[in-house]
This record gives sequence, C-alpha cells and structure tokens, in this order.
Amino acid sequence: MNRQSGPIVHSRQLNQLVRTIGRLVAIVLSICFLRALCPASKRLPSVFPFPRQASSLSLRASVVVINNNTNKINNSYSKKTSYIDMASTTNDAKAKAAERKKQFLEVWPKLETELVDMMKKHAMPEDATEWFKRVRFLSSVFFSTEMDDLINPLELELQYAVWETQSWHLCR
Amino acid sequence: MNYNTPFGKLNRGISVVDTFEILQGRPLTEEEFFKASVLGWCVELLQAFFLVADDMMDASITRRGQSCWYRVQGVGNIAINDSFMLEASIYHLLKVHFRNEACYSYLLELFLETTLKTEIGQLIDLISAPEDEVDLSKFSLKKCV
Repeated sequence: MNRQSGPIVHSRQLNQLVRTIGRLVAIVLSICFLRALCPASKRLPSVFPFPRQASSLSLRASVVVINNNTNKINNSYSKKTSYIDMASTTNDAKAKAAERKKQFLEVWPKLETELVDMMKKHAMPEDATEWFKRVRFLSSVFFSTEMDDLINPLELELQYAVWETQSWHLCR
Repeated sequence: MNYNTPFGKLNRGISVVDTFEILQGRPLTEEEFFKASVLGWCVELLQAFFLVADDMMDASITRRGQSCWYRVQGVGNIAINDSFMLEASIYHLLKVHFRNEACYSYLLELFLETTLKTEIGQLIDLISAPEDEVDLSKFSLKKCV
C-alpha cells in the first residue's frame, strides 16, 4: 500500500502543481491580454514580476505615446509653418501692393505736367494781375491803331513797357 | 488737381492696372504698365471730380483727411469750375495717350456713360435723402425728370 500510495500522492501533488501553474499562466496571459487592450495612458504602474513582457508592452506603449506626441508636434509644427507661410504670403502681397502703388504714383507727375502744359496752352495766366494789364494794353492798342501796325511783336513789347511805366497808376 | 487727386487710397486706379495684368495673364511691359496707369489715373480724376462736386452739394467738411477743396481759403464756389476742369483733364489724357488706339471711342463712351450714371445716382441721392429728412417716395424717375 505504501509503495502504491506513495506514487499516487506524488501524482496528486504533481497534478495540483500543474493546475496551479496552469492557473498562474492563465492569469498572467489574461493580464497581458488586458494590458495590451488597455490604453497606455490609463494603465496602472506595472507590479507584475515579468520584466521582459512588461518592458516590451510598456516600450510599445511608450512608442505609441511618442508617436502620438510626434504627430502632435508635427501637426503643431505644420500649423506653425502654415501660419508662417500665410504670414509670409501676406507680407509678400503687401509688399507687392506697396510696390505697385509706388509705381502707379510715379506716373502721376508726368500726367500732371501734361495737364499743366495743356492749361498753359489755353493761355491761362501765371500771374492774373500781369495778364490783366496786358489785356488792357492790347485792347487800347487795338482800338487806337491799325491792324497792320501790330505785326512786330518786339515793337509791341516795347510799347507795352512804355505804356506800363506811363500808366502804372491805372493798374493799382 | 494735386490737392484732390493723388491723396486717396488709389484703389480704383491701381485696380485698373491689376485687372489689365490679370486679363493679359502675364507681367506687363513698361509701356503697357504706363498706359494702364494713365487709365487708372483717369479713373482717379473722375473720382476726384465727383468728390469735389459732391462735397459742395453735401456741405461736407473734410475729405481724405484734409479740408474739402471748396473750404480752402480763396476757393469757395470756384471749386465748381475746378471740378469741371478735373473732368476735362480725363478727356485730355485720353486724347493724348489713346487717340491712336482702337479702343479710344470705347473708352470715351465708358467714361461718359459712367459720368451720366453717377450723376443720376447723385441726383437721386440729393432729392431722396436730404440730411434732415429721408423720403424714399421721392425716389422715382418721374420726380427726377
């Protein structure tokens, strides 16, 4: 009996040991499965004595976190660069508009000169007093002399100078 | 002319140049830019003509950050004639720079038509909305004629 009972006891103990190990393995596997499903950020600190598996999981999780952060950084960087691009585009547009306005303004003095010349051609007086005196003189000459005598402009200027000195008081 | 024309934002005048460049689809040559600028300045002169007259009609005080032209010492009612001279300047510039162009008559028509339409609008503005009383019943062709 003793010989028979000995191996039976050993086999029972061995069975119990195998069951216990199997339970432990099942528990560990289920925990590992749950850890893999659980988001890294919400995971509790690892207390299980499986450094290799835990470290690989945490490494994977940290890689995910790093990737997420990198994406965030990349996104923010791309946003910043897009803002910078927009700003530089706006600055370019403003600079271009300012340059265009400057070029446009540079045309004005030429047109202004043309318009002033046109007005001068229409005998607009530089000095209205002088212009009025000349008109008075010319009218007096026209009424007092024949048309043939008015051909020489130099003589007319001379007569005007004499007339101006003689009749200065009339123009005041 | 210098008092009233080149001191605004010049958006109208510059937009003529920009529009011409867009329609051409390429950067403008120097001569093209100059001609487009002349047209742009004609638009600015037209605007200055309207503004000088409008300021008198509305008894405005300031325009473009400075006193209205008719309020400048020694100007007064002469501003009416000055506005006409600004208008005449447009047609002089068109004659000098575009007389030999095929589009000359179209440009003349365009400026004359724009002037007429603006004057009609100004009339409607004046008769329908005096400063103290806005009466939209006056806003009719019958009243205008």
